[in-house]
Amino acid sequence: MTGGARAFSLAVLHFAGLTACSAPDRTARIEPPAPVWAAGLSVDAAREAHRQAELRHHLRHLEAVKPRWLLDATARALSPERIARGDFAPWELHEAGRLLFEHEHTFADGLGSPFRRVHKGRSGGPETTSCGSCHWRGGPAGAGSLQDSSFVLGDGDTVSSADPRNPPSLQGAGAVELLAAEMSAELQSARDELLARARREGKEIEGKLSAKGISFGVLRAKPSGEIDASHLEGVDPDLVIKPFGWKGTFATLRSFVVESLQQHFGIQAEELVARHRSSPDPELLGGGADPEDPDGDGVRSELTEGQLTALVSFLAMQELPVVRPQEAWHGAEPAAPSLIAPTATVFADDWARGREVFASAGCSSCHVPKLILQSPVFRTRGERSGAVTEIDLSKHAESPRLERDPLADGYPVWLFSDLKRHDMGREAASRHVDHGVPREAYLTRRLWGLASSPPYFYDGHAPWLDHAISAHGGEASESRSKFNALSREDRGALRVYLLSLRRERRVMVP
Amino acid sequence: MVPPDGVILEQLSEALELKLRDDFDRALDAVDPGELLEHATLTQTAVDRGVFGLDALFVVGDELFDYEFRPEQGLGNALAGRLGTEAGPRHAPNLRRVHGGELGGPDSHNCSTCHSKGGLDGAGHNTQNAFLRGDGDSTRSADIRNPPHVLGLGPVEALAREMTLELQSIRDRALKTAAESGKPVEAVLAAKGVSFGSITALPGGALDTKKVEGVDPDLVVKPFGWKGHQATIRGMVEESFRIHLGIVSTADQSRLRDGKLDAKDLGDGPWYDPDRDGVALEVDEGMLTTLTAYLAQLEAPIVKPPQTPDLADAFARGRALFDRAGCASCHRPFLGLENVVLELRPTDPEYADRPPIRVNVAEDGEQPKIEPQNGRRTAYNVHLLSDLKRHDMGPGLATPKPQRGIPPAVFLTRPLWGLAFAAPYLHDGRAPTVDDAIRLHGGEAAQARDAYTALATEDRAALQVFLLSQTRQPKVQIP
Repeated sequence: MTGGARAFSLAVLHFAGLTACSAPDRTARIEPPAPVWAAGLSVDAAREAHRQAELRHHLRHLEAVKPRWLLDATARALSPERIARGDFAPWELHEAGRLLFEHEHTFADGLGSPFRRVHKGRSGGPETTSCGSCHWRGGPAGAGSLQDSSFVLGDGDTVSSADPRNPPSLQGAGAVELLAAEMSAELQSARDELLARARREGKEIEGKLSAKGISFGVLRAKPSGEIDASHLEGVDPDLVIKPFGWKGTFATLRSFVVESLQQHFGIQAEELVARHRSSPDPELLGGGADPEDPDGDGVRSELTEGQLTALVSFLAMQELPVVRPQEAWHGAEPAAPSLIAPTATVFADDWARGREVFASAGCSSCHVPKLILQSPVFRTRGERSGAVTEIDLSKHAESPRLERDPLADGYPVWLFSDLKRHDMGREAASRHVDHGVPREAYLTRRLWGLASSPPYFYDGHAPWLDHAISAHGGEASESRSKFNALSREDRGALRVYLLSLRRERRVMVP
Repeated sequence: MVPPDGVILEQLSEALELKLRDDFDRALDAVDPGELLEHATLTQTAVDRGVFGLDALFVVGDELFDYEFRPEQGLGNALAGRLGTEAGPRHAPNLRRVHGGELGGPDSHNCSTCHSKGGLDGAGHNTQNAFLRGDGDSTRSADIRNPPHVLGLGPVEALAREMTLELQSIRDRALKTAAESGKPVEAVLAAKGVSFGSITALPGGALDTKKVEGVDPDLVVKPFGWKGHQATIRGMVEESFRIHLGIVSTADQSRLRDGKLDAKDLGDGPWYDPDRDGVALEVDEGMLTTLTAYLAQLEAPIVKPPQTPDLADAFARGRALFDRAGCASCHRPFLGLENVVLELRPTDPEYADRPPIRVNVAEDGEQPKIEPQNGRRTAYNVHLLSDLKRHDMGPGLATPKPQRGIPPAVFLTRPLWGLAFAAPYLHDGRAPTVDDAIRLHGGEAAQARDAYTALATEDRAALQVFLLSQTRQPKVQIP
């Protein structure tokens, strides 16, 4: 590396709080500069966005001078020992994670080859080089457009062999994982109680299961310790709520990220490779002769445990979308001299009415507006070292973040989902059973941030709200019929309400 | 360098105004569906009345570029079949990720989502590749194209027009001399210092175009599309509407009615609804005009050399190596532009007599712009890094099929300005890095490629640092 590049690299790493990598024997931690959490539309936030753009520009140059620059630097710095020791503040992990999220992988990094737009079975594409390429709409870590949809579980060539999946927006992912974990715990302790009772009473016991007020059907416990899960609803027999993936297939961000990296750009995380060594899964990873390099591209250790922890932390710390009615806009100037200025219109009444319609049409029975979270502490555990990273999302996440509401006795999360799977009817059925989830079943999509993430539906076919609502079937057929029967005014009101589910306005410099 | 607060504040308020307007229009549209498109549409008649300035066309075009079209507005067609992802009887625009022949997809709802990488009006990522001229299903059957960024199109069209004029006037002079002398006249074709072979004029007024190089026999320089098949921004907009959104222009309908267009490209329906989706008026000529005027006014890319001494040094060496390795012989660092006023005319014969819209590509619309040569006010240098000529790139890069008569291995020299944010590279996005892209050059570029691969590692890096400084002005956006 040239001297100039080195000087700069140190500056970058210092900012990312990773400087101590040049002095591995140092035990005392340098106090890093205070985090820049400038949010919203301030000049501070814009300055910070410009700084990030400058950094991006420089990183491109550094990668040209020394391929693998970013991956090597972050792999060195983010050692499991340092993470376990708590050397990194949450925002430092977030910064490193952001760089990795934006990083466009190259063949030297371990990117798969050649590109394959339609996935081949579980092994995937690769069809892209970075996370940010498909998660961008509505802002950083946003959603994907129609073109960005993945074609999963296909034959590697034809679209008709695969299931299209539109990239969802990643906001609030940490809170979602926590909600799901609390719900799983609730369901599992109910199961354990039923089993204990069945054993005690020596007969089969039946009990209704629910978590955070959401019903998940009926579980039968037998004295033998077996369970009959055939009357469960919307959750797997293991009673683990899996809130990630359109069909609800992943319980944790970590597992979701690991598989996404493999399928979308052929980057094999160390953890995945380690798991492969103990229980081989060549269908997912490939059958390379080198056990450390299953995809046989000559690159080992394509993503270290520490890098994965940084990526997961970045995602967990994503802002929460907001519910913000459209403001009236008085006294607006025309956009150009010859155009007419927008007339001041107040949408408050429409919004209020839309909120009623959302409930009366039955939308809110699955798209449950809010769930209450008990603990805001996010944990992710490195599989190999066992190092646990803890982040209090109510303190360290991007803004807007979790806030405790004393009246609710917890942290309200306005996600508009019950985190439960439902039958969406034959029309919406996928071509393949995905991770054991039946073809008609989908997880209730979280509607938060919806205004910032068109198009809609699992395949992104719906350019607008009406098309998405019309595509509901199965358990949602009745609500769809109610929507179709609404008056023009009520439909308008419902749309105004739905469009208030959006991301806080924020600046970026691409 | 982070710009001073004053500049940031200005960028911020501009971006905010855009965002507020956008949100507001979306809310109006929610109450009254159709409102949004109405706001994003100026009819050709309204444009012709001349009350709308270029500013208004820019604002409205900006909104239209981002507008998500819906089936009820003509998105898609009834002809795409149902092979694609949206099988089933539900209300859907028959989306088709892999195009079916010349009829296209549709594979998109709008323009902006494939031109978004690196910011508004940017490039497309691998996932946004278009699969053209396929069988409607198999990605391998298709001709893959990566969406290029759309900055600086105004100056490029203006350059191409001047080059066309130059070539055609050489041809016309040769024809005149041949007629006068009664002997065949071979004339060397060159425009802006770029050689296009030669043309032979025969005394009877016929032309021998066998030795014409890098341009069609009509000598019209077509700077748009990876293979250089479109001469104008308007043509590109119209074609994209049709193949990517299944939205047919009134101009195409008129051409179809008058028998000037091959019906099979548009569908087998009546001329007023060839794609049989039940929507007759899909793109008013005014929409094309608005979008064209918008695109012609977009900013030009810039060069942003690195700030650290070593990298700046590499940049300077890279610039010299770019010439020495022979890259610059096709990727001409700049072309001079004399006439910066672009006249945009409607193409629908119904509007043939309407006055053109004049865009000064060095002044109108978004900053930054192309800069005058050495402070002179009459001529400009366009630093596009292309000769706007087609070249044979060898069998390795050849497309599965010819496109509008352009052979599989032939491509237009890709303008490299704005390259830094526009990865992946090459026509189908197969090259994640600049290094990969250079190594994949073949055919006429084989020699330059070999010169590059023969360089020392740090020289190859320097050349990449130079190229990766071709970027755009960083600006605040509110997504």
